[in-house]
Amino acid sequence: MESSPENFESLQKLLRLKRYEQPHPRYFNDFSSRVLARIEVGEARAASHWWERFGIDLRPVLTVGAGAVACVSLFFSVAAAPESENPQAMALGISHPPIAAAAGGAASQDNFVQAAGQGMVAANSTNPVFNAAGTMMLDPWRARVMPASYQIR
Amino acid sequence: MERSPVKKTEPPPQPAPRPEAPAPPEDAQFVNAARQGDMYAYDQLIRKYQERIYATVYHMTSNHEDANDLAQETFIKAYSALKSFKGDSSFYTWIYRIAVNKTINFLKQRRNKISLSLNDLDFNIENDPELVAFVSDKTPRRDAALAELQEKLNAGMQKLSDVHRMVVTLHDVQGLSHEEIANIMDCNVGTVRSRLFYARQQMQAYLSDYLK
Repeated sequence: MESSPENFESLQKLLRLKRYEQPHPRYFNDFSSRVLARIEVGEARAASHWWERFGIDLRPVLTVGAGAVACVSLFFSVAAAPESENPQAMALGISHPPIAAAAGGAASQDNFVQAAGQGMVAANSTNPVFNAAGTMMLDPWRARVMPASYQIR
Repeated sequence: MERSPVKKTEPPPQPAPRPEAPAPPEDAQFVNAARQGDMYAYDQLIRKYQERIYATVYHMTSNHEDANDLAQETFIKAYSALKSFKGDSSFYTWIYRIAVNKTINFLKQRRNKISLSLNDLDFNIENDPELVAFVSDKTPRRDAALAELQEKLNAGMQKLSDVHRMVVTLHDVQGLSHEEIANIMDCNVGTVRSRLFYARQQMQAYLSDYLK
């Protein structure tokens, strides 16, 4: 193989052919516009939150998380609510405050029934006392087994 | 490989201007303005150097689509790094260096996955008697012969290592001096000369049929 300067000169002439390889005539018309558009997109992305740069959309996660926190808060607030300390009411399985007060004041089931008869509460099989203020729905942990009916002497 | 026959277009090919020349004063002004976020100024810089950067990357990859991506990424990278540009060299040399590094990194990843996507030959090649002489003696079908020669030439270029191809591209195709290439490739002039000699030997052996 020859490598004389003359032959390199011939090779260099041949390599000049590559200068004639040109892209489409209008290729460079909007080249800078494309570059600048990509720069602006990059800057907008850099200005956003770091996780959005990786294409992560946290909005659904945040929504679900907020809902879960709300549910857990409700659960613990309900579970930690103080039970009624009135032993009479406890004995009777009454948790509704007016009823408990009435029960405590009467100090006996008979008195409670009497109080009920006086219109303070309406306790009977068709109108259970725990249904009066919707307690069952909001406070399931305080639900107690209630007498279905009372003997009235 | 994609290619098409010789096309009729206007712009005659020009060797790249010498990057060692002092940067025109407007370059420094545009660079300073672009640093402040002036996109118009950066647009002017892109328009000024887009052909040369694209051509360098294209001759290294022999693939228009890759050259398009890499040339754009070069200008994007340069914009993001403008604040670190100290002006020790001209903006052209600096952005050339970015293009060279980006292209060599790309080629390392692309290893063994070479696919040519050549640009068309400019019509003005008909006005280059020395080039036409390469094919006119071989066949009357000049366009086809030129296209074949173009493919052979690019295939030969792709057989060179990245650094050898870069030296041939910058010197024999782009017309840069040894000193300029040494500056861009961050090596000494002797290395450039030896790489150029070796690369030419390789090319000459591969293209021997056309050089007889």
